[in-house]
Amino acid sequence: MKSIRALIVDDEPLTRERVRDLAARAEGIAIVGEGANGLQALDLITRHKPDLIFIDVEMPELNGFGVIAELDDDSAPAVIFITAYEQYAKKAFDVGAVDYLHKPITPSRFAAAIARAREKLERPSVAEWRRLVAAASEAERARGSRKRFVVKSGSTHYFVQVDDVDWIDAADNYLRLHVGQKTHFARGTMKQAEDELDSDKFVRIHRSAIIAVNRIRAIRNTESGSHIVELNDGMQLSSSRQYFRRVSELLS
Amino acid sequence: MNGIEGQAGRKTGCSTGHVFSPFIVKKKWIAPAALWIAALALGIYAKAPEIPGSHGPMAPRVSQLPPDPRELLFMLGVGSVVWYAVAMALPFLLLAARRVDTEKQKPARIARLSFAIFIALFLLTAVIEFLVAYRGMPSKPSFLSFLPVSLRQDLLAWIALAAFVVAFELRRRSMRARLERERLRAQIAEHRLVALTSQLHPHFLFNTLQGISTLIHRDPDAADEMLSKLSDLLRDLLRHRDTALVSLDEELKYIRTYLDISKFRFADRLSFTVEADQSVGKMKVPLFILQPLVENALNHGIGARAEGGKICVRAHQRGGRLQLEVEDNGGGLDAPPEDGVGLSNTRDRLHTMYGTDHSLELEAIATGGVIARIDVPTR
Repeated sequence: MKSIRALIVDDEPLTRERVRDLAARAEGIAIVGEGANGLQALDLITRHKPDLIFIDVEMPELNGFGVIAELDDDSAPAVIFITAYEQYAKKAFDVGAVDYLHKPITPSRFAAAIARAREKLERPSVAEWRRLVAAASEAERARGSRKRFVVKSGSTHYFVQVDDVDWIDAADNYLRLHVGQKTHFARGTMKQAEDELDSDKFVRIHRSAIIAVNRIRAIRNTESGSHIVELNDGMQLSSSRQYFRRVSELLS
Repeated sequence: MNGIEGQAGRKTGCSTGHVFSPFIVKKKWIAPAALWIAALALGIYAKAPEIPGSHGPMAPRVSQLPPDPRELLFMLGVGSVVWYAVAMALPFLLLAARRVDTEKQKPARIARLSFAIFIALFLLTAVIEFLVAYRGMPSKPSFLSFLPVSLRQDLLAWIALAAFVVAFELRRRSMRARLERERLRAQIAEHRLVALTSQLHPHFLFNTLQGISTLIHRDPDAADEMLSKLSDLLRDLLRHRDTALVSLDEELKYIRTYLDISKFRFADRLSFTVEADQSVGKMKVPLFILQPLVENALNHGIGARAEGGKICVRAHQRGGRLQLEVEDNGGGLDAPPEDGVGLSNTRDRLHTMYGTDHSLELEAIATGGVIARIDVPTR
């Protein structure tokens, strides 16, 4: 039997220890890394591409659902959620996680979850994985408008606060966040970003541009009937008529 | 276009709530106002016709049948001036009664003022009656000799009015007081529940149980100790389930147990101190008021740091105020502080207990970490 390469992510050291112990007792599981928070989880997943992750739903900053929402098709591990809450466990199951484990974790329940994970790993499905990511994003969105982006540099992940972002444009499947002189890349589409950001603070002015409302310095009409939006840092962006309606609503 | 910011400002200054609220306030006045206006209109209309040969205002007309309906209306008009006056005065007296504050104003003063208003209204009505009744008459008696007539006729009406206003206002006040009592009772019950449930947070409880389950295998003694700390906590919880205020000593003992358990949970990545002035131990504070602050410090200050950290809980007396502080040496505030459920519950509870006379602030410290500070009057 091929050994399953697994990752443990929980902010409680004693929970990680328990999972480690139980995994050691089960056959054919190799723990390749342990993380204490969401950002560490993303770093470890990028680095190790594990087959399976045990991940705590409730962690400060970036929680379990938030981690899954940031993953792409390249690294599509089987996911077992760990949680103290009944309702999260049910949700985890509904969104297509392999299984969930209640705290405190019992050996029999752990063994059952591992059996399910093996089954799952024998017939991997990208469609199922995408459903899980979509559902995790949905769960994140339900918590309110986005407060920060997770961005990646090499295999290291970090946060960019939404309030620091001047404007956003699209680059392939990524969002390009402009923060002062710096540029960061975050996962997502313009549509998602528009939906997730606070609509009082950010406005989409073009198919491929979203700007922070409080960075607007001036707006000029052009001869062709479209508009030029100038930001405080001097950046000039054009706004198509279709989207400019929303801008004028916001400013009137 | 330089006016953008100004325009945006105007937009936020105008809220739709203002447009609709007066309408709502007016609505409940429509029915009484319509009745009142109808009564007045009837009176004014009735006074209009001149009846030839009429003599004397209070002539014994009642014994005769009035010859025509217009005269009946006249009687209604002149003979009932006092009732129209009562109708006119009623809403103003009800409003005035509503403004009487029995706690701030002395009863004697209220009585004097009420009597003065009573006399003034009576005299005013008598003058109007006098003028209306002898309108166009060649000879008038003196006003003074008319007064007893007026008194006999009108006194009952004014007493009825006064009685009605007093009864109405007393009933309104007793209903309000009852509602307020109900609301307070519900609020206290709810806050006690919030205190308890925030205490027995499933996250904390099940992580603690998980910790015990892990330690049983590696370190049975530690598991034993963690279990007994959890029992202490649950015992405190049960003992205080009917209490809204506890002594600060009790609160700090509770917080120590909570932090002891957390120390196990964070596998010795946590150290903590609890300091209190001697003078503050017997002071009363809302039950478990510090717990959400400590939990915050653990999650954001310590939990997120691989190297762990330190938490200091302090209680000091400054002037007539009690200051409670929870300090961590974690990463500080990377974003403007935002109230989670725990903190906003704490604010609500402080508000119920102290009204506006309290503060709860989060402050980033230069060396890293955050201080959460509660400032309340001493009790």
